[in-house]
Amino acid sequence: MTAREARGAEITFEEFVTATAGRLLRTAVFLVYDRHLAEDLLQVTYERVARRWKRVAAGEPEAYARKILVNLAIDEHRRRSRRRDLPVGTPADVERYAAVPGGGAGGPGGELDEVLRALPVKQRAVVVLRYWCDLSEHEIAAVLGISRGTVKSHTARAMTALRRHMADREHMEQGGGPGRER
Amino acid sequence: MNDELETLLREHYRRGADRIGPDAELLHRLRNAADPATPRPRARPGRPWLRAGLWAVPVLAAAAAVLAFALLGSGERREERPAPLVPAPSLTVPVPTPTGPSPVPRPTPPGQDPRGGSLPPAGPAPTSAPSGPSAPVPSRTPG
Repeated sequence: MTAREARGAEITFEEFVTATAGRLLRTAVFLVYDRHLAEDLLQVTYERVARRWKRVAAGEPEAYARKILVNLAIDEHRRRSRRRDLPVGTPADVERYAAVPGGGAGGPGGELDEVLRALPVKQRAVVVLRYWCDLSEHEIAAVLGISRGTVKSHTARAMTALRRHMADREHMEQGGGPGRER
Repeated sequence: MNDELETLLREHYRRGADRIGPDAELLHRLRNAADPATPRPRARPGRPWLRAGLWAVPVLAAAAAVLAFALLGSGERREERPAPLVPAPSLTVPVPTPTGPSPVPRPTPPGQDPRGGSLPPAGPAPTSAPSGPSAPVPSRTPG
């Protein structure tokens, strides 16, 4: 993806949005597993990029936008974790939510969805940046503002959780139940 | 195992990405993100008041309450200030207070009013003499 990343030196903000909206929307959805929230986060991201467009256009605006987006997603997740008693939105929100393909769940859909959703938000962000955005450990550390060692430990823990999930699944396929003694 | 997992993850995201894309409405909204006239993202569930800027109302109310408490508290404190140890000078002439021993009441002899007079003799209380015609008072009739 890095090679395809939009360079902002010669393009307008609108062209930048057109070129990057799809990739960043997918990143947002993989991060928050909620299409509706992903769109909102993406809009806030573009608003912030637009405010500094003259400054960031000459550099790597997509990397800048991705950094904003990932950190917005992490912040939003923490905020929601603190307030679990969130009421539903307006009827328009519900209609729009229901209109999203896949029933509005917003995730990529698949066998790994469950375990990826259950990961702590930073571990999930590391996985998304590593295996969807193809970023290096160094780049991930810069995006999240953490050390490379922390990136490694987040990755290792996420992979352990995924391995456990895979082992459970294999065990179930062999007819052994959910993989835990009851 | 890790290689297998990594491949699985990449494949998972690739498949998911095929189903996710911005629609025309969203693209229009995002392209106009730089325009201040563009409506902000819709209120997220649970925080419509935050998006609408209504957060200022409870914040201002709380600030007003704190200010009121602070003012009232300082006023009460001023009222409850302890009285000075030295009595305040007054314009009236101070009345001397008796400092000697208080008189002990002496026992009075019987039949004498401790206040100085003599007590009436013990016996039936005198009846007031009729001063004029009056209705006859029923009396005890003998036998």
